[in-house]
Amino acid sequence: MKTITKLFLGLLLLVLYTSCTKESNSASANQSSGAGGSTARFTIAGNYLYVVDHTSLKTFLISDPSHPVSKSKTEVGVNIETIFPYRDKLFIGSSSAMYIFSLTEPDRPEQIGHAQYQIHMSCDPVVVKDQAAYATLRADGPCGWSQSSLVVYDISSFSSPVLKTTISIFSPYGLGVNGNALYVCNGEAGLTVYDVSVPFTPVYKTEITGKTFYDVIPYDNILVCQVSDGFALYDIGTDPLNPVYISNVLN
Amino acid sequence: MLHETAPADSDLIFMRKQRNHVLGNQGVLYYLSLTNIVIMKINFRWLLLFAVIFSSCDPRRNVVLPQETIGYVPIYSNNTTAKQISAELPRPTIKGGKMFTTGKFLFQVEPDSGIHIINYTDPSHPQKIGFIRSFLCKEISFKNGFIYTNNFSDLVVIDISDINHIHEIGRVENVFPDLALQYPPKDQNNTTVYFECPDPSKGIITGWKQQIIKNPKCWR
Repeated sequence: MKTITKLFLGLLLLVLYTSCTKESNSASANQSSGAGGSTARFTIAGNYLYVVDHTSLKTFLISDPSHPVSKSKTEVGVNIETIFPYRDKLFIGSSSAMYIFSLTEPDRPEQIGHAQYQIHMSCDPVVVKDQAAYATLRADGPCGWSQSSLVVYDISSFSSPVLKTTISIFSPYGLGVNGNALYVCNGEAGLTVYDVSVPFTPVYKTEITGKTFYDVIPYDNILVCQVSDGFALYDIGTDPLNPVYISNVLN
Repeated sequence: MLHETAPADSDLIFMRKQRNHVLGNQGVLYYLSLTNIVIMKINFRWLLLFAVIFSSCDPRRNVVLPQETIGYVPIYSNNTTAKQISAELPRPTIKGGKMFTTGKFLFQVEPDSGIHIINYTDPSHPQKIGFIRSFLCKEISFKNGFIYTNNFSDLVVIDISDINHIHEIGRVENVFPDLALQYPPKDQNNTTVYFECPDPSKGIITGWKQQIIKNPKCWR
């Protein structure tokens, strides 16, 4: 009897745990054992490693890690920068568009939609939560010919994302979303926190300065931040909208 | 000067030579990609857009490439150990690269050198516990005790399930030519750096040396 109770409790914990991580960490939805940042070019979903280079998406079967098998290569576009897994989809950021791929056939991802940005930029990671896709577009010209921005798309229809909001930002890099908080790295200008309780309308909450932020991973109540000289950790368990500094490792 | 229809590659090279002073960093990437026989489809319209935009406002548009300047020359090596994955002691972070977290361990790329392994089970006292050497490393993912990263243009799988016995267990060669593109370092002022264009047939580039170079064709 005792064993059965233990087993039951164990199962219950497991269920609770998996449902929790799904809720609090969208980045890892497809990854049983962790999460990468929004600027990654490598991501793992199920038994597959997906890699984007400048023009294409490459798929490797990794069910036997000692023998990765190249399965397919799909031409996507130009200036591909990032890949982000969400549920059974891959979101690919390029300098000119966001592409959505379905993983219904995981060894051969299929493009099911895309959103063309209005102007060509560079550095364009995208993260997703439910029906909202958030992307940063960084104008990288020497003469400020365009404004960098944070854009929000409604992706309730994957085949035709709808641009909902554009917010001007100084110089955005990576970003992360966790619950009702959206974290946007602004390089030397710091890290900006937005409230996305209303998903398509981010509201500015606060700013963390003093470090050069390039990317973030919200994971298990901790915001792991890639900064210019290492990384820094912030507590987001108490109040996701007000990250509290814990520690850093620089050099 | 601008073609109305998309020209052949040879025309593009010519155009780059004529216009490299207005293409900014794109010029180098573009040139390298051609010389390294990286199949990289350049959208010509996109290039045009850049050319037009930069030519209209780049303050450096009247700069011509120097005939002789202090620049960088690649140091080539055919040493196969450059392709070895090895576990090393923790080392200082020079530039914080891309990250992957498991909630307990954090892996952070040291661009072009390898991967820092950090234990942050106690978040207020994160500890570097090791470093995985992987030359030209830029990317990382992780699953079930295995790190997936790049070593030069190869995909490598590294077993770290036993932290005291980190070792390579899988490799697929030359699948990421983009990740093996190499540039010399830039200084802090971000000034233009001239260099001798890499020639992959000469081997692996393991470093750069500064010297006087004539008629540099590559710059960033």
